[in-house]
Amino acid sequence: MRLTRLDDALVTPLAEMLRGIEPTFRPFDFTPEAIRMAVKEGDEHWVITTQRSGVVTYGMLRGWAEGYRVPALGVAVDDQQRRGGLATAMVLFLHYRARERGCTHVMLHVDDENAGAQSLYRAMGYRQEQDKWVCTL
Amino acid sequence: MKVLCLSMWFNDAGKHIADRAVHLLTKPGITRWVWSIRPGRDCTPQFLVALADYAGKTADQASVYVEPEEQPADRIERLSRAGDALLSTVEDEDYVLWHESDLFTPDDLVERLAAIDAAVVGGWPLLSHDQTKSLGIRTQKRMYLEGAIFYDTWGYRKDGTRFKNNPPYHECYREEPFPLDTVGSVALIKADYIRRGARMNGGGMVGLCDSIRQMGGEVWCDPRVPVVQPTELWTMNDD
Repeated sequence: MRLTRLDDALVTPLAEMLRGIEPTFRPFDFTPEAIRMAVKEGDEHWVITTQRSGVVTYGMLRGWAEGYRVPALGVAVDDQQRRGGLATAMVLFLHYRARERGCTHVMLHVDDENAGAQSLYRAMGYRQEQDKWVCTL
Repeated sequence: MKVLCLSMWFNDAGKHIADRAVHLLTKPGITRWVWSIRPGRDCTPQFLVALADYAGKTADQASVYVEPEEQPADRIERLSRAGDALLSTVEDEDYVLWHESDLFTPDDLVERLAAIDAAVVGGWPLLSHDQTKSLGIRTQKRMYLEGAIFYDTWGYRKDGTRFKNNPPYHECYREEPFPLDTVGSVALIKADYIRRGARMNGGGMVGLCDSIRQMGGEVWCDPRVPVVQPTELWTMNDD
């Protein structure tokens, strides 16, 4: 497994991975064109790849490019790679990246129907504030 | 009391690395962590650095040592070289806690092992089965051990005979702390022996225990201290 920044060569494999997961994660359309539009300089987009399966995990911190001080965090894991703790590891890695950049908080949105994600984020210290979930780093 | 915790990692990114690392980083009594990572294509080093930061540890408190690319073919020889490199990082600590990275132990592990006055004190390694449904950093507080089998039949030895998986394990076994020749998996070691030169010398933890006994140290284990390998953490990496 390699953890790398999302580059152009990985955009199409990422789109394929995202199209295969449950539709509870949709920060942008899952086409290569939409992903390229969503990737803005200043934000962070990371992927975990394996030789056999390609992109298996995606993580993002975005909002900096648009001037927000608190970035929005998002993580998606390939259905075949679940239950290995990759989501937790990626979230904590993104927290580390945010702290490195001087952030004191990150936020995210969780689908109301996604009890698994809500449970994960609550266990990691997130608290719900109206329509978003906030974590103090 | 200063305690240095030493562990090894290899291609662990997809193997509940966060639960395992945070379990070690939050264990009371430990003052420093050094982790050996075998070179691979895996992002284990990046995650470990991030997780140490998450746990509030500075780079001085938690550090990563990447093993040389050139590795011996023999597994025990390879582990021993990495182990000896880790042991050489001992500074002014009172104890070294050898803790395999995929094992879970009680919060009061250090306190319980340090209560026995011996050069090396091991816990009691058990293979868990179906006892925890939601693993995490809180798991060790509700270890359920009934029916679990003893699994470190390689490391635990007495008078040239290895322990067995099931009771009575070995004729020297007692249900309270008892002396033996060698232990493995998780052990608290008096750091003075390491500073005086005790090493694995190609024999892993068995070699280290032999080395310490040659220096006059005693090796004990406390079968009341569970060291659990949760089988539900076993996952397969595809590269």
